[in-house]
Amino acid sequence: MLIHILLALVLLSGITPDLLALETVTTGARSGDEVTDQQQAAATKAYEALKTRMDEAWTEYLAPLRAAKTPEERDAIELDPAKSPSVLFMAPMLKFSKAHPATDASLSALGEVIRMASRDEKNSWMMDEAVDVVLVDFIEHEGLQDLVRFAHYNPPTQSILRLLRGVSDRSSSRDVKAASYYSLGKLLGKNKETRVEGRQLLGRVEKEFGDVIFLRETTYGQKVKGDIFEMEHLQIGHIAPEIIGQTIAGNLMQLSAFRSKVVVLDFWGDW
Amino acid sequence: MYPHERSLVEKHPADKFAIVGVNSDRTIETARDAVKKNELSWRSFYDGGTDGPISSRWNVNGWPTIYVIDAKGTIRFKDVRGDELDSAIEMLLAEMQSSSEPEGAR
Repeated sequence: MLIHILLALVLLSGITPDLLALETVTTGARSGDEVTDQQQAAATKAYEALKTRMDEAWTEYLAPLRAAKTPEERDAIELDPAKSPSVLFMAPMLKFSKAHPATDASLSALGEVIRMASRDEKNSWMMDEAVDVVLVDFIEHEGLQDLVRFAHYNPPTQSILRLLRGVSDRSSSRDVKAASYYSLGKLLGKNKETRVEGRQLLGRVEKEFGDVIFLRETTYGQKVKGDIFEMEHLQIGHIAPEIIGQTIAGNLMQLSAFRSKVVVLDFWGDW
Repeated sequence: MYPHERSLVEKHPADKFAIVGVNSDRTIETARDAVKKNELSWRSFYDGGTDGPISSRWNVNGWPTIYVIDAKGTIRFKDVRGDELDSAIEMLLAEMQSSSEPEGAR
């Protein structure tokens, strides 16, 4: 218990992430052991504190952009990528996940590591470590669904693909499998070389997991239809599908009437 | 985005280049106001919201989403921005120019 309090103090005291990375704090739970409610609660509390510090670091990091008065001024600002919170907090998050093994908060932290490290090749080892822990300690955790649901927004690195293949094969939850196959199919569909496999996986999602809820009222069955259409008709090299409709001014217009011109098709909204 | 788009329309001849919008504002009044306020000279389909038929079919989940289509109607670039968008357009215009002037012409 004392160690939890100490950890909470360390996290709340606002020391730099680099320093925190050097701390060696652990909770009593070890991977494989049952996690007690107290351990869960302590881990969650400590995680929230770490997350708050990360949010604050983001606010500070992005402050110059907010202070800019014109778009030109904003464009001129160059933020130092080495000082980005996503670089600075990667190690603390990984450390945290190890200090609170098998807790829900540990999985959340691993999710953050995977998101941050997937855009940072120098730190792909952290990503690999995080993926290993997820596949071993959390393979039956329902929270994996949130971790893999939007994984297709990450670049299709080997580590992300290994995570998704592992989760798809080994989880026994339909919800988790649906999310994982979906992300894997989307990612593979982005590259010409793997598009066929991606298309097959999305077909599998439609057939086997079509009834699983993606978000709110949308099922994977509905979601995947648009993705399959995109994969088959909206890739570079495809003829743009026809659009016929009313303009804002109320006239009828069709996209194909612009043939013989270079066209920028811009999906926009003023919000 | 608006100033950049306006500059593109000013820079390139109207018989060779066009911006076609698909507007996803929830009400047509919002869309009309945006056109007026930002002096948008190009036309846009009105899609009736973010879950409208055009953006659903085109599987658009983020705004703005950009496609660059060449003079033959082929999709050539997706989601290019800023300088990348400028050079994509330049390249396609140059391509158009060279295909309309076959070797040995003139």
